[in-house]
Amino acid sequence: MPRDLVVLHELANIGAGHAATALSQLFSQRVDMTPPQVRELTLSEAVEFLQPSEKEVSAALLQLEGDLAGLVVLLTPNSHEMLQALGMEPGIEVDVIAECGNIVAAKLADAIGSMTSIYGQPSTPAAGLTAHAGVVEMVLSITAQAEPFVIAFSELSLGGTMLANLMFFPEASSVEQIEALA
Amino acid sequence: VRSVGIGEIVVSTDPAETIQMIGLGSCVGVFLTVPGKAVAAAHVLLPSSAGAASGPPGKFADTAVPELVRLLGEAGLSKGRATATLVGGGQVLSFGSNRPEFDIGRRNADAVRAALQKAGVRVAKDETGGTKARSARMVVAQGAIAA
Repeated sequence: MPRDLVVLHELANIGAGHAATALSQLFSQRVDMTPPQVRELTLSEAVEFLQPSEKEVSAALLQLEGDLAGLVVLLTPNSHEMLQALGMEPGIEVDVIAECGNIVAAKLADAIGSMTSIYGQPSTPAAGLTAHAGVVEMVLSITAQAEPFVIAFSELSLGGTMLANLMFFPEASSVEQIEALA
Repeated sequence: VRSVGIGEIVVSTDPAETIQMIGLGSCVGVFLTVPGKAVAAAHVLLPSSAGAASGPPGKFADTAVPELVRLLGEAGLSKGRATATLVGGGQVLSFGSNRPEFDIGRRNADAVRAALQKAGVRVAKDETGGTKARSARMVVAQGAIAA
């Protein structure tokens, strides 16, 4: 039964906006973002939505702990472009995505916390450079124990080039708290 | 070629058919093979269906293995003739901390082996572990993962 998740949509939009602004400072260029798609999905729907592939990506996963609990994922197929935009040489893709993950998770959690008083604290990131499907498996193993589950998905871009996908999977208890604000 | 998505189960008795799983990372691909006859395969996401977990049988090690055995039986094949091949169960991300939820690959592989033992199915080949995501393809007639 699809729910509207109106409040979460608004909060995810503002949170992702703060995350994009923080990345703009890091990259010294404007980072744009698409408004998040907020959905409640079963496992098979999530697989269809995320389209796991053999393409190599770099990704960072961070757990939020507290009343605002869930998983934040930053994933990019364009790690090379990401390094280039920072004026860095290849070889530190994993460190860069981990650091960007730290930034976006902290900003997302801060933005939602300051608007709602529902606070979450990000963990240190798990990060890697691997097949997209391998990252999707890891993400779903954490988020998809019970179905359906909620995803907020937006795309970040830098000067017209896709920079990364930002995903937030709030735990069911946090979704309830957030929607109770309506 | 038939792809087995995360949490899915596929059974084939077509010798020419290829069963594939793309980019196995922390998931475990379980292939039960009856030489020259059939392959039943599951793309297992999590070790256990206990507690608040929900979803299709192929999603969990403890429900996927009995379902594979049942489906082989439905195809007229006894589990006594089947052997198992396991792929995946790796650790493709490096962890900043020692969190159990990030160690899911090893726990998946352990749970699949335990479920196979309980079901009385012999493991012919165990290629789980490592740090790389890996795709697995098996032609039903061959009953082995293509290199």
